[in-house]
Amino acid sequence: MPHVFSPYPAIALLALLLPAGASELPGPADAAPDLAPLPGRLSETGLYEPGSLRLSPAVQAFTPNFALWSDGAAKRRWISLPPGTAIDRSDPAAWQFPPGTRFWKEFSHAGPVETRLIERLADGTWRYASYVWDSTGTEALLAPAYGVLRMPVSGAPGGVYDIPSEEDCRMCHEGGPVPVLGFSAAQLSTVDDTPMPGNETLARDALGYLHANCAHCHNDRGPLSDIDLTLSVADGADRILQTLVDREADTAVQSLRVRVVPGKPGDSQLVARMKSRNPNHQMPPLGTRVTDDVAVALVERWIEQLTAPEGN
Amino acid sequence: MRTTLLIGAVLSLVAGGAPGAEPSSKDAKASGVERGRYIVQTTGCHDCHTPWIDGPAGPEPDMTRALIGHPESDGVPEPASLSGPWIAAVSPTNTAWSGPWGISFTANLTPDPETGLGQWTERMFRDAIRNGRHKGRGRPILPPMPVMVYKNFTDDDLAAIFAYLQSLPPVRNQVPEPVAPPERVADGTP
Repeated sequence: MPHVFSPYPAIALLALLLPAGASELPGPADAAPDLAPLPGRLSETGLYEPGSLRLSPAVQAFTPNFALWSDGAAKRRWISLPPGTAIDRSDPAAWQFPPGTRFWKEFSHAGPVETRLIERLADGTWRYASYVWDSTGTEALLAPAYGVLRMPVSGAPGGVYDIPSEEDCRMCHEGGPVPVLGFSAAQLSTVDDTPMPGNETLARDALGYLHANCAHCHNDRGPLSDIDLTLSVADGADRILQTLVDREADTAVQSLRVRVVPGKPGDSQLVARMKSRNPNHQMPPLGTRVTDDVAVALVERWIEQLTAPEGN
Repeated sequence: MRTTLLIGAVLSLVAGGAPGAEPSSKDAKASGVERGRYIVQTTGCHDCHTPWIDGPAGPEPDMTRALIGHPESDGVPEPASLSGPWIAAVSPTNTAWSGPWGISFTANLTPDPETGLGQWTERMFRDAIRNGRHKGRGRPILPPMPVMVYKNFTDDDLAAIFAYLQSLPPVRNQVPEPVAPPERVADGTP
């Protein structure tokens, strides 16, 4: 399945729901936060109306501007908030979600494979779970916390599919300022006035892709802050370029040491890591077994039109 | 449990010498380091992270180079060429391993800021052991590191281990990056 780039889809409904400052969405009646065990069935998590696969009116679908590559899986996403609660959007780089917030993401290859759930608990922490669909597509059951490796899935690349462990979930979701990655100012903005270097559309698509696929680890905090690929609504692309272009990496990959060489994608380690699926080299390091060829071509085109920074 | 707590409280009073005596944070830190030393010495860390030498009684960890990882001076060997039923090989120092994953080198666990754990945080260390990823976020930590065993440590135990490792004298020793196996075809095979 080709990876579809939808540069800046207007999310009209969300724009209406998120007019300014804090915003409200309806939530399921049973969304009171607690530390109860995770439901054993997806149908018990509030996503659907009881006894059916009809979406609950309490959940709201959304689509981020820039998608995470998931080996070609089709994805659908939903959010619910507890009744009367709101998202604090005062910091555009780190929206704060009320306890009881739930997100679901469904992954499909010909049919639904898994639906992941993220929930904020009363103590402010988050919990993560995955529900694996049965072969008839009528129910999904809670996966073990240690995940499932190489699950046979017809239609998935190579016929296998990995359910992430809870630690895998935390690894990607807890490396940034807020664990919610696809529901943010950068991911939902309908108008983006952030200036981009060179070809604006190309730069926005390429840097947006890097934001969605890399910035959950490569941001301004933590052990990997030497590379910051956060597409900031406030600060634009300056820091991304500073940490990538003509910057030498600690480790060589296929003898390439410079992260991005302007005009030369073949000499840029970034492209080599995107292409590789050698576990020691590949980026992202988990959640994908096959290269995103469309994204590689996009990033190559972006690097080709880059010029060396002044002063070099 | 209640009885245990009561006995513990009484012992605390006796040990402290006076009601209300609390162990100082310095004492708590020292006990954490000591606990970490105990765990490191009893769970095999020296087996691989301290280079082995041929001692008078046979191979043994060279404790003058405790926990420095694969010696930089030993360089990067060629991958092992194996035949028969063998799947992996190890260097005489027990710090370089060759197998289907490529060549892995044991890490410098001393707090040297550039080549060891000097810039690591306790969170990075805990994440790395729990999820088996370099720095808690990157490439997989490779065999033979028994992450699947060590991930079962409690947070307190991992904090104690980290505190002990950070208390060691820093030793500059740049361990090589792992040597990857040949690139795999991106067709879904692992």
